Amino acid sequence: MTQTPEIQEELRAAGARALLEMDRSLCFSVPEQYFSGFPERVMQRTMPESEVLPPTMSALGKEHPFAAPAGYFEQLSGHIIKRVQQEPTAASVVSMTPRRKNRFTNYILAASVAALAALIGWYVWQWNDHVVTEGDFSITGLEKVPGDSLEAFLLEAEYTARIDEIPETLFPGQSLVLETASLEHLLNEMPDEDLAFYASEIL
Amino acid sequence: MNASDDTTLLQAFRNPDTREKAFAGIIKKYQEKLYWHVRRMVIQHEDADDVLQNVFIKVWKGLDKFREDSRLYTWLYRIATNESLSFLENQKKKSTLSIDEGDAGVISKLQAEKDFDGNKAVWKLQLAIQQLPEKQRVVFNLRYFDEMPYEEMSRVLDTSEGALKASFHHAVKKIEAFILDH
Repeated sequence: MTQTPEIQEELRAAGARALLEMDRSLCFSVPEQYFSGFPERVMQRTMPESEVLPPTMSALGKEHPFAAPAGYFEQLSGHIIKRVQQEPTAASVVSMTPRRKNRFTNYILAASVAALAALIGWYVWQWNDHVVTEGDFSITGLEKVPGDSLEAFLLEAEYTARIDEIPETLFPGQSLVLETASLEHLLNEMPDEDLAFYASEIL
Repeated sequence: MNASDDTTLLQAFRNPDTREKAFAGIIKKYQEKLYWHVRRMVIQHEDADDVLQNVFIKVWKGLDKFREDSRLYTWLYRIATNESLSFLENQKKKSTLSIDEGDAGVISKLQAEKDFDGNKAVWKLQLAIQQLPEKQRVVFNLRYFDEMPYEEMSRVLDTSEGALKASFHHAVKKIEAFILDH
């Protein structure tokens, strides 16, 4: 094949089949080898400049030297179906549409934000816990507040969480009525400024 | 390629009862075109076979998501092109050779082909094509051998038609020069 099918189609569409398959029995004759170069000449006149192939390449045609093993295409679909049945997991597929965000991306982002929030919360909790234990208070004088007064304050403020554990070092020598509520937890939930105000009021 | 046939095949693929039969139909319809497209890129039959099978595995897994806003044929070519380029890229990475020597590796594969004869025009053309950068090689092959319209090639390669025309033009010049020099 020395010309593109487009050119062949153009000749056929123009009714120029004779030019492609000239019969010597016609009264007119054409020079020998005329048709072998004809499509290239037509192509050069009909195609845009950028499409025109140099004569060397036009002469090469579209033949390529490769060969597939005998029976390869007959067996290929069977091989692929077998592989498909063995591989249930999804593979990445090239999309024809502009790349869209993976639908799992939002979940991953949400999980990351939640994890970050949890980490920050843990640090804040640790910090608050540190504030109210072992007498190292950021709110001056809170450790001097009697336990029952603090209990009353917390109840009045409607903090209803349970107390599971009351650090003895926090209120040494004080007996606390709130045996079931976590004072530590309640303290953690109470805003520092409220506790500071309470401490300044009561002392 | 008949798009209405593709629509029928895709409808049959979505039906679990006819899924495999439809997929086999898609393979049979496109295997040769895609095979030669891949083969011209990777040269050796064994490599082309691996790449082509991977292409169809990806097609199987992604066909449910295929939206038909493009032609199946275009989508298949896009996957086959990307798989071929990925294969060549991986070959280069695996090789301890430099990039230039990696290209020489493709040429040596070509020379190792059965019946290779550097004096024959068809082999000389293939040698000339291998001198091109990979993407220019794809453009040349799609246009010259597959006669793909630039509009479709633009979808396959995600490149403007103007850039593809220029790329093909430069490729032709380089190949012509190579053939005249050798």
